[in-house]
Amino acid sequence: MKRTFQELFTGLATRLSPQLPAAWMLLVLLIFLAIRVLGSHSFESLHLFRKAL
Amino acid sequence: MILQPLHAAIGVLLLGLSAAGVGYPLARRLGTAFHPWERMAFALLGGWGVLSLLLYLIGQFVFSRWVIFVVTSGFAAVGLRFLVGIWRHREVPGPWVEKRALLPAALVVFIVLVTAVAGLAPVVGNWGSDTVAYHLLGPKVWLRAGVIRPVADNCHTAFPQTAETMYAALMATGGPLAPCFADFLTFGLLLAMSASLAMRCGLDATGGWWVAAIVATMPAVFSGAHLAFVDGLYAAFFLAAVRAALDAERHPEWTSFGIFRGLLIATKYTGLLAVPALAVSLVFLQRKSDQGKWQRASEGFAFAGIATLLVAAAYYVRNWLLLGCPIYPPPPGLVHLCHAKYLSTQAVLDFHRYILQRGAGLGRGPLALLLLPFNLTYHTANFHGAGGIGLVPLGLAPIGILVTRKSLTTKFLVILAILLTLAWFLTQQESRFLIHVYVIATVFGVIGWRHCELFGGRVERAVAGLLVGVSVLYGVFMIAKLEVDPLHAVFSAPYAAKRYAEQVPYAESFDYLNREPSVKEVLILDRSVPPFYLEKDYVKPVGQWGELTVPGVASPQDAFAVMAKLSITHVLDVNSAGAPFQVSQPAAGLQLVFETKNQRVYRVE
Repeated sequence: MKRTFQELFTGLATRLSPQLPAAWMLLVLLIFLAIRVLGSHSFESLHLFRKAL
Repeated sequence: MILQPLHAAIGVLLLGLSAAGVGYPLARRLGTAFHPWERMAFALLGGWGVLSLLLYLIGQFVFSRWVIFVVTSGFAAVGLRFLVGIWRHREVPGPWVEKRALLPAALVVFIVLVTAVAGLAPVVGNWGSDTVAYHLLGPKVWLRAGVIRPVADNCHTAFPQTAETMYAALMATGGPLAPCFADFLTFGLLLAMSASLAMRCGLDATGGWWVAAIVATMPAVFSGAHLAFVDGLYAAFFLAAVRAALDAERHPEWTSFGIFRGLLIATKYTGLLAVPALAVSLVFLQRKSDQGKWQRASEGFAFAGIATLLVAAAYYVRNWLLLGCPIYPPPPGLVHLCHAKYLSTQAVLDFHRYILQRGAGLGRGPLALLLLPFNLTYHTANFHGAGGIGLVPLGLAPIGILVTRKSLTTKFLVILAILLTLAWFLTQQESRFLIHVYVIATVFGVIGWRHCELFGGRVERAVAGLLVGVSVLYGVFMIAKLEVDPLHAVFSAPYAAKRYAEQVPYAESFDYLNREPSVKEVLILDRSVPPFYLEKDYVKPVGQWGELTVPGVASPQDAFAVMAKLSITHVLDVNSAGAPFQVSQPAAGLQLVFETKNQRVYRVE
């Protein structure tokens, strides 16, 4: 069981790691665009929407 | 309209040449690890600082325009010879910009050009602007008085004065526009130091240009490097010290490091916090090197220590002798040990409270520290960030650090950046105070970008390029938005007049006082009135930070009793947001000679 988990983890890490930098940069970029382009009002609306739900 | 900018350009040229002349020996001391262009930039930067120190020392006794002109002209002749020699022997061979670096080079040129042209706009603003409140007030008063002394009504004029002494020299040689116009030169030197550090970390010339371009387009960096702010110059000295230390082996090289470290402390008090951070990181760097290098470094540290002391001591000893405390206003640890002249303990404590409040950022707890990289990137306004630092430090620097993590230089720079950020986090979280750390982060950011370009897949390359593009474009947009107003004022005289009328508080009264020949000595009653705009001598009994400048006078009202002793000819009374008119009419012995909305000027009968 332990071995299987280790294999799974190593396999996952190996498969994921080449994508990590791109994912990280994309995340940084998207948060920035969300804040700057959509503006804080969008976040406010989202918050109000969630609150209403 | 063209005469004033021309005058400013002549002043900057004279001081630039003079700085090159003073810095020439410094350039010769640098080892072979430095490119010829780096030597030139180091000579200019070091010379700028050391020339300022020389003028400051002379200025303690006499600081007339004539003395400044003679001193700077002498060194300018040496500087001219130095530069002609470089040109003749083709010491800095071309091409200066490779084809691949044309885009970042164009960005750098554009931002530096904007800095220069916008710097030609006349200075405006109220007491909330540091430029008006003290950076340019001190120089103006020193030139009028013919001697460098702290201006009693603004304790910030007693801060270390490397930048301000040069502003005074610029005013003397290039007129009132020269200090802000000269920002392009010191900003350019900051960018040169950034590129120099980048290339020392393994990037090629194109990488160096990109680091310079990304740093130039960071609004937080720009805000600290223009309008006669000193943060850009401070960061340039810091980076020069780091760059010099990285390759220091012989005593002259360590001495150069010591000089730049001294200039750091001689430019801003925060340098006192940067020095221990530098020391810890350098000990780490040298201990990890071989035994022989460590031994040589130990001796080098001693030489550097002496150089630092010689460069920085003057500012602190002067304050100690004249104001009762080497650091003025005294920091928390010294409040009860020093008796600070002009400042009550309460005024000092109020000042500390203000600093803590202004620099609170988003808190000082462990979570705030953990979230700092995100907050600095996305919530720039909480750090007075003027538009922020872009996305490269957060998005790409971690990649750059990861891929170079085994390099000793990376470890040294990361430790240094962490220590500096911690000191900043615990004291005053003002974005522009961290410019040197942003530069280090950008260096790693560009290394990370280069790694993505060379070893990443299609998506990684595309996202990295997009991130840099968005970051740079956003920065350019923010800076352009900020500079539209001064640029408009440079090219349109009617707009400049309108801007002056709107943005200079009590402009009409200043105009009256400046043009009226009978005005000799003005009593300014309200502490929010910025005396920077006054061309005559003045007394401000209660200063901006609660300074009490006249013995026995604890409030503006008390000042009326000692007016004759102070040879006051006119009184400026205003109805400000902080206090109403102080003179009740009709006032005995005072004749109202000028009145407009919220402003009254009296002649003393």
